[in-house]
Amino acid sequence: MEQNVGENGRLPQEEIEAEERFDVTKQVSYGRLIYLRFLRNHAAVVAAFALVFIYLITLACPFFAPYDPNTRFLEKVAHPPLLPAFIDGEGQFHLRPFVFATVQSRDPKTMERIYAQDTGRRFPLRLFVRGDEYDFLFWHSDLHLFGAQDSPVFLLGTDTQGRDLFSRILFGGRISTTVGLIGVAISLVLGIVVGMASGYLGGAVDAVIQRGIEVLLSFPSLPLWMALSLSLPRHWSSIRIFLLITILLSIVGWGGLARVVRGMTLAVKSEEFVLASRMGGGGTWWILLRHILPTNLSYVIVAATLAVPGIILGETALSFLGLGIQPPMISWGVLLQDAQKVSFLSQMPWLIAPAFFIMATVLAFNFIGDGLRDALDPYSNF
Amino acid sequence: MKTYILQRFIQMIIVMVVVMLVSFIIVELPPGDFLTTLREQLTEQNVDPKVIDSTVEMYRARYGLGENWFIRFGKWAWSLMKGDMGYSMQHNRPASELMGERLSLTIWISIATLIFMFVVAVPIGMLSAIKQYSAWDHSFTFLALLGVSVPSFITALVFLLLSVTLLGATTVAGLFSPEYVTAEWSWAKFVDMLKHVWIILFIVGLGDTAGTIRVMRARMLDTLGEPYIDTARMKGLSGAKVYFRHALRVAINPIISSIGLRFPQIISGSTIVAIVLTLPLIGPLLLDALLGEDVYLACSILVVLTLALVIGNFLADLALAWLDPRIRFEN
Amino acid sequence: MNSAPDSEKVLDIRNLQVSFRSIAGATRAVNGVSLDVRSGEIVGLVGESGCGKSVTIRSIVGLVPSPPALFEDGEIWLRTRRGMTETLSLHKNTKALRQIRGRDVSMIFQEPMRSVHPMMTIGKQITEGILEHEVVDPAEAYDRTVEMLDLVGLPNPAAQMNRYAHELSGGMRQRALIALALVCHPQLLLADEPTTALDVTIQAQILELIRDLRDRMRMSVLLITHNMGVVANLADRISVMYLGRIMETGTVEEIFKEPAHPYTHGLLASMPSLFSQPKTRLQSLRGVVPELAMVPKGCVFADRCPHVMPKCDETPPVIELRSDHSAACWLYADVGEPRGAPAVADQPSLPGDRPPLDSPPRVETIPLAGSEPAADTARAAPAGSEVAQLQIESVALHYPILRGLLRRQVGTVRAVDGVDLTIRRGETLGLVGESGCGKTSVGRLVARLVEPTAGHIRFGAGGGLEEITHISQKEMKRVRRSMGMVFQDPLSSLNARMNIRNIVGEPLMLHQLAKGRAVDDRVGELLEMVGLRAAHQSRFPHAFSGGQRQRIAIARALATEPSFLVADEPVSALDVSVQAQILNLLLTLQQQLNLSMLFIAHDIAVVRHVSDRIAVMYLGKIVELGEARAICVRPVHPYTEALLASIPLPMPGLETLREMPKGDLPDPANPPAGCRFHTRCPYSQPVCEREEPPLRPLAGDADHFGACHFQDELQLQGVEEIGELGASQ
Repeated sequence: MEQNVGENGRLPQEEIEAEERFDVTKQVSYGRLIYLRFLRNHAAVVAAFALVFIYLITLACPFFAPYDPNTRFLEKVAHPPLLPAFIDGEGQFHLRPFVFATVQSRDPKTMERIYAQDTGRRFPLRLFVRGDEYDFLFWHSDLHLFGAQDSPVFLLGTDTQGRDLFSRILFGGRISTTVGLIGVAISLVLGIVVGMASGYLGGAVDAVIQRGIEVLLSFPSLPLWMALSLSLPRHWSSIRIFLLITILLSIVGWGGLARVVRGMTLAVKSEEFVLASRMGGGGTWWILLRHILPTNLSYVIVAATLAVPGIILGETALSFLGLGIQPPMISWGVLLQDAQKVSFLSQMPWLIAPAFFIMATVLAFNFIGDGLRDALDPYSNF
Repeated sequence: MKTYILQRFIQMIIVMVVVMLVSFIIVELPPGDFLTTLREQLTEQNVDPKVIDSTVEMYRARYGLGENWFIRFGKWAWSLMKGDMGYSMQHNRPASELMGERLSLTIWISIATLIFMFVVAVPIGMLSAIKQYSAWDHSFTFLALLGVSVPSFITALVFLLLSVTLLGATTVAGLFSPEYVTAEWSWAKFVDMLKHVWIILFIVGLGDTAGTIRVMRARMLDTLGEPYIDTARMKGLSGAKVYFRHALRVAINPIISSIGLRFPQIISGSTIVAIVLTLPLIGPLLLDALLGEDVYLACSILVVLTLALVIGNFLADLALAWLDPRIRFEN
Repeated sequence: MNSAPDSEKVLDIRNLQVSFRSIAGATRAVNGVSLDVRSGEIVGLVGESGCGKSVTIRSIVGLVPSPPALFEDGEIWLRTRRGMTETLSLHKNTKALRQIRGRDVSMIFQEPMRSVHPMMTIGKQITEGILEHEVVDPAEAYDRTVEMLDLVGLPNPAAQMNRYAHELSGGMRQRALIALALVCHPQLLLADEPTTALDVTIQAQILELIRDLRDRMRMSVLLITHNMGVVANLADRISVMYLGRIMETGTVEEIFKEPAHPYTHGLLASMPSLFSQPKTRLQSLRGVVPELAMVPKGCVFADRCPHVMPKCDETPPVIELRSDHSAACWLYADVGEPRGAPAVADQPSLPGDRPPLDSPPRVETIPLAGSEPAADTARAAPAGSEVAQLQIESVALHYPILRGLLRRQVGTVRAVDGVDLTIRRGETLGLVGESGCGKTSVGRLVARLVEPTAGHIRFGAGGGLEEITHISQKEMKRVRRSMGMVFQDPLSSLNARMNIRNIVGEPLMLHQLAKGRAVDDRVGELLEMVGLRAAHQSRFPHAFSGGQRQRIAIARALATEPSFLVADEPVSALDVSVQAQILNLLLTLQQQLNLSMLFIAHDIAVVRHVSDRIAVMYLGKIVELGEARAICVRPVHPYTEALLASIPLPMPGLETLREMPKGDLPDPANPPAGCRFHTRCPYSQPVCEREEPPLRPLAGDADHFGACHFQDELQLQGVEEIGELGASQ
């Protein structure tokens, strides 16, 4: 074999080929490897689709909601959910779903409203119907995804003021889901900057930051948020309140992220590839941006994904208590306020519907976060 | 060991001071002159002008309003230390009087929730790890993920919904049967509370129990992969001995050290659950104080809750040092 | 099912087949392994990582989790107190299996640091084993445990009873684990790489202990290892395993002196031993151990075999060369029954390019193209170029030990404590020592990856020496252009998120040596230089094996055409056969590019193979410095002697005659007063405890330095003396 050693010390060709044959080399990048591994986790993939769907219908809520959230159907106050049907009063099947008309009466004893379905009259559902006008981005329209002519459609019923709950949930979701994203974005920036500084600089900077985060984390978050919400001027516009609430939530939330980033930075700092980069002439910024940030980023994304639910829940809890988003602005927490009253809930159990939207969103984020985390280990077998 | 305790103790004191400072800043944050607001509020409530004057004067003296911030902080901190939680304008009573029983009940319920969490989560997590990929494991992994996704106030709402629709209840289930609500503490009242409290523990603790199941499962899996578990197996020990004597005591450590993070969440949870279910805990009082802009009362509550947590963490650290020789001998 | 084997055998594995189920499908980890261990025998099972050794011995005691493992075929007979027992069938019957574990058969593991329970006292862990199997009162169990701890050589055994794992060093933990394993007097001890994680001097102690206990307790041992040297002095018989199959089995003499299977040949030739010609090309096996899923059909070794022939597409039979010596290779298919002469000598095809290995064992090496004979190169290099490339003077690196809330300094770790070294142009200086001696710190100090506490570092980038101890990072960047560094762990030294082009090209871009397409071209050149394909630069590190990653790391180190290379344990994380390839590559490149090199390793045999001069380091100080050959032939410091003696030599039947160093490495935060080695030195005198000997030249040899009070008086043993002893036996 030694006869084959080339003049320049290269490995003999056959040796290269021998290695080549056993190679399990795949010409894929690290990011693609993670993606492929993520795809194998079916629950996470389903959750990802669900999340995209939730964000789509809440962000473009004016189109997907059949009504404006403030449109009041005075004749239909506290109307129970009316689900689309296919079989009419005579037992005949219709391919196009429809809703029955309802007739209101009152219970002679309790004076509660009772809605009875009039199976004789049915209103077919249609796509792309005209309804309440709205402005969405730069687009003024009155087009809605679905509706029925001559009759309102209450998928999830109406509230005590006769407003369509489904529409309100979509509009409320726009606030709640955005709070999660913006809040995490703020936490993320704070967490990455502080965490990387703490981990890379070390020493006194690290010690001070770590003690600070410890103090931050030792507050019970909800009472702290509640106390902080005191500082919100009540007379401010609801959009400013919304932004402030978001900032408030992320102020409490960044500590955990900063810890994750710091831990990763410390781990990466001692990796030999960082030393190798310094040997190759890399300075502090080069190493931070080129090696440490990209290496941390994937883990940070996981941590961020898992942090979104916390912020969404913080907003809903605060608003639910009347300390967060203020009406007329709607969020899922605001909607749930009605459900808090036992008397309302006993008569209108559908008022709890926003809770299931909250749960679905949070669950989706948790599933995706779990899936991403499992997909991340760079050397796990594929 | 002694140095370790001392060290942790000093650390705890420092955290406490910082916590009070932060809380104080929060008190100071609301815009506007506090005394003016106070005067307005009292006037609105049709309080006798003389009483208003004396109340305002009392606040000025007690909190040194109008003086330097650090003097104000000092006075506030000092009165807190003496157990003086301030004076509630809304209720016209000292805050400590209002908090009294609610505070201790909150802390006891939180501790009970913590114990509930341990008792439920540790065995489930452990079994899930031992029987990895079994039906038991899959179902509890799913349930745990569901559990961490449901905030306690929603659990409370769902509970409310179920009790009104299924059981036809008209009032909310509280901590006590109606006849005991205002009764003095007695054995009968305590027993009555035990009958009601488990559902509260479940509601408050669900999320953290689920989270702990996940942590416990992951830690147990890690531990079972450690070489010293092979050493234990090679001795001929039975599965139960390997799991309980060898694996559990290592795997449970992070659970104990995570008390520091779980306890605040449980307090948060109990606050909001108490509001939803109108339980006689600290939560509704805090909400009242906040909605009524009863600043000092609200912050006293925040500080007291946080201090309880800090002490809780300190105790958890001590427990950990007692359990784990590696920590014990480090110093 | 076959009948139970004869009672001579303690263990009889027959045709064991184990597969693992994964997403990719079933892969067979163990494929028809047959193996036996007789009473009182030590059997070595040798092979590279991932070849199925661990699965095999774990199958004996049911420590392979099933599923995922599928036991497809085979029997494992074990002699127990109730007669011969088939243990594979017991895997479901955990109770019966438990009665065997610890009582009839015990096991010690690779990582003593992690194999002792961290939260239970040593005493409790051991008595637990006794109480599990025997009806004894706790007091008796306690006494027996103390006795056992004494037997394994733990000092002050009664005090050890109440200690925890973290209070013991690695060597002491392994002793405690041996005590734990043997406390119920099993007939068979399974040892899974028991010394791999330990330092060489500690390794020698543990191997000695195993041999001693075998005699005293009349048990058998099955020891698995990747290191041929470990079994050479210890085992009675050896089985060589590769990719789930036994390649060759024989007595230790046969395996080492008349290896039959080409794989055994390759393994022996790959090891740089203390007898190989320094600075020559080692005969390495080509390629790497393939992944289990990619195992070739037929003979699993065929792809890497120098004697491959068409027949190798079929699975070779196990051929008895003579009683107790068999090999699974087609080369011997026509040999049939054993003949008088060793089969190897009869085979024309085998010794074609190498003479048969008769005594004394020595590894055939071939001089590198263009290089002079080794003895001359060693001398020629320094003589040819007297110009210094690097000079460090009284360099120290001290870490404060900070404790408590206020981070008060309670002590100092003197990682490097006053080191002087000079590396001449074109020279390789080997730096050798055990873990924690500060050798890696020296390597990093030289490149100022850590800042020195004291001393001077001078480096000659272009012309003369330039002081670089305190220059700015910007200046340092310029200096580092002339330095390259190769790290120990090929896994962590390449950023997993970057492709090879960006990894190797990073220094080029940072120094603005190339841009755009020019980077691709240069990276391609570099990759070809280290034996990889230029086209592979778009791939990511996860696509490469350990050896290939180390090649990439070397390419990166050489990207800026440095004149000086620091190689920090570049081969210690690699398989034996790959290790030889990397050493060959480094040697070739060094000659080609006329590099000066600081070569750091813990294995003195490896260091000797590549170095012109060697510096031996102990607890932050250089204790001996001199020409490689001189140091190995006539060491003057007892620590160097100990290091040389601790290297397990692939030379069976040779007993080391001298006293081994006692005890463990002292705490570097609290080094002994006087000579730092005196606590372990067999020649220690009262003066050694008081006065610290300086590093000074030997009387009569100005190029050889030692730091021993008695360096001119002591007659210490080097390698060639051992070699002669071996020959005379």
